[in-house]
Amino acid sequence: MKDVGIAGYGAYIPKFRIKVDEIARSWGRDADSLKKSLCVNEKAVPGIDEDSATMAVEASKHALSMGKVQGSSIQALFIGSESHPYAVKPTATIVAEALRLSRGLFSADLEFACQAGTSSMQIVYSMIKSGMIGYGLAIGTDVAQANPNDALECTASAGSASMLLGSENILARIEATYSFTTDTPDFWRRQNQPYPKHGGQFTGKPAYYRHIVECTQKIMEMTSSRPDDFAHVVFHQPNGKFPVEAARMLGFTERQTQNGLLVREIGNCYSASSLIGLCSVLDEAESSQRILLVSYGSGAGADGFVFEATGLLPEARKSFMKVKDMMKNTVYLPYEKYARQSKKYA
Amino acid sequence: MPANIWRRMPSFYSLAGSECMKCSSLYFPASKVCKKCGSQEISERVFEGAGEVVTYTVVRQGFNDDSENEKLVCNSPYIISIVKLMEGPMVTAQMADCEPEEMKIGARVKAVFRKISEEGEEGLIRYGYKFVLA
Repeated sequence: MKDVGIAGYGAYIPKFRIKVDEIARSWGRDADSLKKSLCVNEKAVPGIDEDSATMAVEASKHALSMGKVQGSSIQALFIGSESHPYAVKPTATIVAEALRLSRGLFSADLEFACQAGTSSMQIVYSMIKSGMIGYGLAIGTDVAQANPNDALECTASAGSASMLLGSENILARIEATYSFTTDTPDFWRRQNQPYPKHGGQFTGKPAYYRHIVECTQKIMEMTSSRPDDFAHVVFHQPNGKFPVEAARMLGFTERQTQNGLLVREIGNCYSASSLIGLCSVLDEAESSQRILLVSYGSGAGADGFVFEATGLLPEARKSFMKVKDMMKNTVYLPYEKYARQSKKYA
Repeated sequence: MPANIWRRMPSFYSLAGSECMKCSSLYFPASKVCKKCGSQEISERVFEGAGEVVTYTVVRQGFNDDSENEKLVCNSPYIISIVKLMEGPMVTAQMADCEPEEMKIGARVKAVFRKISEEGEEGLIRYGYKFVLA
């Protein structure tokens, strides 16, 4: 069967940031203990006129441009988010129209907490592998919600990542994908509720760690891999502590996770979190290096991918801004402006 | 509002204007007749979105806060620019992610996709182009 993989990628992180110190100050909480428990220093905040659709468009422009593929060649678009702008009306149609994609388009909005971006990637990958389509876009994008004064407010951020998948001019070949899914009520948001609820410490062991570990072990077994076979490892990043601990449990080193670990500076972009980490890894990966990506979505599930970078990757990314450079152009907001921009007290 | 949004999607979403097939004049928004040579042989032309600020103004007047009506999605004050696109046509547009003190005539800008307005919490969202400093 033909090889399928990433033919272009793009990330978008809003310009605005708020520091955990500022959130703690405004609620009279101890910043040092929050930063220590979450291992997050600041998070990305969307502009007042940005949402999951606008950020998806910007990330996808980057991906299409890198892949040198016209929008009219895209035959599938799947968007994972838990903050679609409309409850009923697809984000995918807005993004498709803005990117001038083909009218003959398979598309849908997906929701699986923070996992739906990689779920999109599995769908597009399968469609290309089966010969249904030539190129497709898989997007993870979110303006994460969090209740004011909840610890989650220190991490819930905004961002988008777009993966152009195809079978020609591949920059990173997909070797295997696997998903591990159970019904685990660690984090949820009921209909018409603005903010999610979570199970506190329950989000750790039976939720995040179990799913990440089981998924990783299975995909490594499927690909006959050992931890040192991977140059780069990216896990979903709800905070700075969980992915580091999961990596340690699975036998990975800090060197393997450092390129994709961005949560300390940008927060948890939910559906975009692990995919932006992947973009950052693709900015640095060398030809033939293998990459492990495992996302996590509360509720719960984990999607695993094993990639191998091809010789085309270094040349293709050369004229594009790296994720880590994108992160340097920032404006820090006081809590009042952040609250107004995030419509927390509109 | 639905029909209004739908009709303007090509220009609002992707800066689609027009080009005269006879004299190559470019237009934004699209024109069905060439204002220079009178030709009706017109085709669609999508502009890249890169340009330069010709002039701008800072709007400090508060906008209508009635949730029943279409309301701009932006901070106040906001900046309106006239941008000369690198292909030639001029576009009037709002600036995004930019404070008045950062603006200057001649600044290089690029188009981005943003929320323009919305009809309160229940209505439609109008998306379209704004410009950011490049």
